[in-house]
Amino acid sequence: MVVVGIMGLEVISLRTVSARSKIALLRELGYDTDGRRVLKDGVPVVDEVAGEEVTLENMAILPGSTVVMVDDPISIAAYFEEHGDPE
Amino acid sequence: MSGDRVPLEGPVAESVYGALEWSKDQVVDLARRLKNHAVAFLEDPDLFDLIREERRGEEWKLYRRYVPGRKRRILIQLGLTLRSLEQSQEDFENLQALRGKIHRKYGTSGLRAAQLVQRGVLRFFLGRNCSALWPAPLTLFDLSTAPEVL
Repeated sequence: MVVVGIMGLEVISLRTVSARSKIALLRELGYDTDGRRVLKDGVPVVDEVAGEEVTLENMAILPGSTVVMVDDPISIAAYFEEHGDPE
Repeated sequence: MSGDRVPLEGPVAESVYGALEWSKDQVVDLARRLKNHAVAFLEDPDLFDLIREERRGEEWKLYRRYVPGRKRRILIQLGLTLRSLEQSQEDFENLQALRGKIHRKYGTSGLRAAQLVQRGVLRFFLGRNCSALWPAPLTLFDLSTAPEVL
Protein backbone atom coordinates (compact mmCIF):
# COMPACT_ATOMS: atom_id res chain seq x y z
CA MET A 1 0.00 0.00 0.00
CA VAL A 2 1.41 3.36 -0.98
CA VAL A 3 -0.05 6.59 0.34
CA VAL A 4 0.97 9.78 -1.38
CA GLY A 5 1.13 12.25 1.45
CA ILE A 6 1.09 15.98 1.60
CA MET A 7 4.16 18.10 0.97
CA GLY A 8 5.49 15.67 -1.59
CA LEU A 9 6.72 13.02 0.82
CA GLU A 10 5.53 9.57 -0.18
CA VAL A 11 4.55 7.50 2.84
CA ILE A 12 4.77 3.74 2.48
CA SER A 13 2.95 1.43 4.86
CA LEU A 14 5.12 -1.32 6.31
CA ARG A 15 2.06 -3.31 7.37
CA THR A 16 1.83 -5.04 4.03
CA VAL A 17 5.56 -5.60 3.60
CA SER A 18 7.15 -8.98 4.23
CA ALA A 19 9.70 -9.46 6.99
CA ARG A 20 12.28 -10.38 4.35
CA SER A 21 11.82 -7.08 2.54
CA LYS A 22 11.89 -5.07 5.78
CA ILE A 23 15.17 -6.74 6.68
CA ALA A 24 16.59 -6.08 3.22
CA LEU A 25 15.73 -2.38 3.54
CA LEU A 26 17.23 -2.18 7.02
CA ARG A 27 20.46 -3.75 5.80
CA GLU A 28 20.61 -1.39 2.84
CA LEU A 29 20.40 1.44 5.37
CA GLY A 30 23.16 0.01 7.57
CA TYR A 31 20.99 -1.68 10.18
CA ASP A 32 20.36 -5.33 10.99
CA THR A 33 18.02 -7.50 13.03
CA ASP A 34 18.12 -10.46 15.35
CA GLY A 35 14.82 -11.63 13.94
CA ARG A 36 12.69 -9.32 16.05
CA ARG A 37 14.66 -6.27 17.21
CA VAL A 38 16.35 -3.73 14.96
CA LEU A 39 20.11 -3.55 15.55
CA LYS A 40 22.76 -0.96 14.80
CA ASP A 41 26.34 -2.18 15.09
CA GLY A 42 24.98 -5.26 16.87
CA VAL A 43 23.18 -3.22 19.52
CA PRO A 44 19.37 -3.02 19.76
CA VAL A 45 18.05 0.35 18.63
CA VAL A 46 16.06 2.04 21.38
CA ASP A 47 13.63 4.86 20.69
CA GLU A 48 14.49 7.16 23.58
CA VAL A 49 11.30 9.15 23.19
CA ALA A 50 8.99 6.14 23.29
CA GLY A 51 11.24 4.29 25.71
CA GLU A 52 10.96 1.11 23.65
CA GLU A 53 13.18 -1.08 21.54
CA VAL A 54 12.53 -0.76 17.83
CA THR A 55 11.30 -4.02 16.32
CA LEU A 56 10.26 -5.25 12.89
CA GLU A 57 6.64 -4.84 13.99
CA ASN A 58 6.73 -1.30 15.39
CA MET A 59 9.39 0.49 13.37
CA ALA A 60 9.20 3.68 11.40
CA ILE A 61 11.95 4.84 9.05
CA LEU A 62 11.96 8.54 8.34
CA PRO A 63 14.20 10.91 6.36
CA GLY A 64 16.85 12.88 8.15
CA SER A 65 20.07 10.95 8.62
CA THR A 66 17.86 7.83 8.41
CA VAL A 67 15.79 7.95 11.56
CA VAL A 68 14.69 4.51 12.72
CA MET A 69 12.24 4.75 15.58
CA VAL A 70 9.05 3.37 17.04
CA ASP A 71 5.95 4.24 15.04
CA ASP A 72 4.25 6.10 17.86
CA PRO A 73 2.47 9.49 18.02
CA ILE A 74 4.85 10.85 20.63
CA SER A 75 7.90 9.81 18.62
CA ILE A 76 6.40 11.28 15.45
CA ALA A 77 5.62 14.56 17.21
CA ALA A 78 9.19 14.66 18.54
CA TYR A 79 10.52 13.87 15.06
CA PHE A 80 8.66 16.81 13.54
CA GLU A 81 9.86 19.04 16.34
CA GLU A 82 13.43 17.97 15.65
CA HIS A 83 13.42 17.86 11.86
CA GLY A 84 10.59 20.16 10.86
CA ASP A 85 7.95 19.21 8.38
CA PRO A 86 9.36 17.02 5.59
CA GLU A 87 9.34 18.66 2.19
CA MET B 1 22.12 -11.15 14.06
CA SER B 2 21.02 -12.33 10.76
CA GLY B 3 17.86 -12.34 8.75
CA ASP B 4 18.23 -16.12 8.65
CA ARG B 5 17.04 -16.12 12.24
CA VAL B 6 13.68 -14.61 11.42
CA PRO B 7 11.40 -16.96 13.35
CA LEU B 8 8.31 -16.67 11.19
CA GLU B 9 7.93 -18.02 7.72
CA GLY B 10 5.12 -18.70 5.26
CA PRO B 11 1.46 -17.83 5.94
CA VAL B 12 2.07 -17.10 9.62
CA ALA B 13 4.74 -14.54 8.75
CA GLU B 14 2.47 -13.02 6.13
CA SER B 15 -0.28 -12.58 8.69
CA VAL B 16 2.12 -10.73 10.97
CA TYR B 17 4.22 -8.81 8.48
CA GLY B 18 2.36 -8.81 5.17
CA ALA B 19 3.24 -10.47 1.92
CA LEU B 20 4.59 -7.64 -0.20
CA GLU B 21 8.08 -8.45 -1.44
CA TRP B 22 10.54 -5.91 -2.78
CA SER B 23 13.21 -6.86 -5.28
CA LYS B 24 16.85 -6.00 -4.60
CA ASP B 25 16.62 -3.13 -7.09
CA GLN B 26 13.49 -1.81 -5.41
CA VAL B 27 15.17 -1.89 -2.01
CA VAL B 28 18.16 0.03 -3.34
CA ASP B 29 15.85 2.57 -4.96
CA LEU B 30 13.74 2.99 -1.81
CA ALA B 31 16.87 3.54 0.29
CA ARG B 32 18.07 6.15 -2.18
CA ARG B 33 14.72 7.91 -2.09
CA LEU B 34 14.73 7.88 1.70
CA LYS B 35 18.12 9.56 1.74
CA ASN B 36 16.73 12.15 -0.69
CA HIS B 37 13.86 12.89 1.73
CA ALA B 38 11.34 11.63 -0.81
CA VAL B 39 9.85 8.71 1.10
CA ALA B 40 9.07 7.53 4.63
CA PHE B 41 8.11 4.09 5.98
CA LEU B 42 5.58 3.62 8.76
CA GLU B 43 3.39 0.91 10.19
CA ASP B 44 0.52 3.41 10.46
CA PRO B 45 0.76 6.02 7.69
CA ASP B 46 -2.68 7.39 8.57
CA LEU B 47 -1.54 8.63 11.96
CA PHE B 48 1.63 10.11 10.49
CA ASP B 49 -0.42 11.96 7.87
CA LEU B 50 -2.88 13.13 10.52
CA ILE B 51 -0.09 14.71 12.55
CA ARG B 52 1.51 16.16 9.45
CA GLU B 53 -1.82 17.65 8.38
CA GLU B 54 -2.29 19.24 11.79
CA ARG B 55 1.09 20.91 11.46
CA ARG B 56 -0.09 22.62 8.32
CA GLY B 57 -3.09 24.18 10.10
CA GLU B 58 -3.41 27.75 11.28
CA GLU B 59 -3.89 26.69 14.89
CA TRP B 60 -0.55 24.90 14.95
CA LYS B 61 1.17 27.85 13.28
CA LEU B 62 -0.16 30.08 16.05
CA TYR B 63 1.19 27.80 18.75
CA ARG B 64 4.52 27.40 16.99
CA ARG B 65 4.88 31.15 16.90
CA TYR B 66 3.95 31.91 20.49
CA VAL B 67 4.67 28.82 22.58
CA PRO B 68 8.31 28.31 23.52
CA GLY B 69 9.83 24.98 24.46
CA ARG B 70 10.03 21.63 22.74
CA LYS B 71 8.12 19.71 25.38
CA ARG B 72 5.27 22.18 25.36
CA ARG B 73 5.01 22.07 21.60
CA ILE B 74 5.05 18.26 21.58
CA LEU B 75 2.24 18.20 24.13
CA ILE B 76 0.31 20.72 22.08
CA GLN B 77 0.81 18.55 19.03
CA LEU B 78 -0.45 15.54 20.97
CA GLY B 79 -3.44 17.55 22.16
CA LEU B 80 -4.33 18.33 18.57
CA THR B 81 -4.02 14.65 17.73
CA LEU B 82 -6.30 13.73 20.64
CA ARG B 83 -8.87 16.16 19.27
CA SER B 84 -8.67 14.68 15.77
CA LEU B 85 -8.98 11.14 17.08
CA GLU B 86 -11.92 12.14 19.28
CA GLN B 87 -13.79 13.39 16.24
CA SER B 88 -13.63 9.97 14.65
CA GLN B 89 -15.60 7.23 16.39
CA GLU B 90 -13.48 4.65 14.60
CA ASP B 91 -10.38 5.93 16.36
CA PHE B 92 -11.65 5.45 19.93
CA GLU B 93 -9.07 2.77 20.66
CA ASN B 94 -6.27 4.95 19.30
CA LEU B 95 -7.59 7.84 21.39
CA GLN B 96 -7.49 5.80 24.57
CA ALA B 97 -4.08 4.39 23.69
CA LEU B 98 -2.64 7.85 23.08
CA ARG B 99 -4.05 9.15 26.37
CA GLY B 100 -2.34 6.29 28.13
CA LYS B 101 0.97 6.94 26.38
CA ILE B 102 0.88 10.64 27.23
CA HIS B 103 0.13 9.84 30.85
CA ARG B 104 2.97 7.32 31.08
CA LYS B 105 5.41 9.68 29.44
CA TYR B 106 4.46 13.06 30.91
CA GLY B 107 2.35 12.20 33.94
CA THR B 108 -0.96 13.68 34.97
CA SER B 109 0.13 17.27 34.38
CA GLY B 110 1.24 16.46 30.83
CA LEU B 111 -2.00 14.68 30.02
CA ARG B 112 -4.01 17.59 31.40
CA ALA B 113 -1.99 20.02 29.31
CA ALA B 114 -2.64 18.00 26.15
CA GLN B 115 -6.32 17.76 27.02
CA LEU B 116 -6.53 21.54 27.45
CA VAL B 117 -5.37 21.80 23.86
CA GLN B 118 -7.79 19.04 22.87
CA ARG B 119 -10.66 21.02 24.45
CA GLY B 120 -9.59 24.27 22.80
CA VAL B 121 -8.70 26.10 26.02
CA LEU B 122 -5.28 27.27 24.83
CA ARG B 123 -6.76 28.27 21.49
CA PHE B 124 -9.33 30.35 23.37
CA PHE B 125 -6.64 32.31 25.18
CA LEU B 126 -4.59 32.86 22.07
CA GLY B 127 -7.60 33.59 19.90
CA ARG B 128 -8.94 36.21 22.31
CA ASN B 129 -5.51 37.80 22.53
CA CYS B 130 -5.78 37.84 26.29
CA SER B 131 -2.65 39.88 26.70
CA ALA B 132 -3.53 40.72 30.28
CA LEU B 133 -3.60 37.05 31.12
CA TRP B 134 -0.68 36.05 28.95
CA PRO B 135 1.41 34.00 29.59
CA ALA B 136 -0.79 32.53 32.32
CA PRO B 137 -2.03 29.72 30.06
CA LEU B 138 1.52 28.54 29.66
CA THR B 139 1.79 27.92 33.37
CA LEU B 140 -0.54 25.02 32.67
CA PHE B 141 2.34 23.56 30.74
CA ASP B 142 4.79 23.67 33.59
CA LEU B 143 6.52 20.35 33.07
CA SER B 144 9.37 20.86 35.44
CA THR B 145 8.76 17.45 36.91
CA ALA B 146 8.44 15.67 33.57
CA PRO B 147 11.17 13.31 32.42
CA GLU B 148 14.02 15.06 30.66
CA VAL B 149 14.19 12.55 27.86
CA LEU B 150 12.95 14.95 25.22
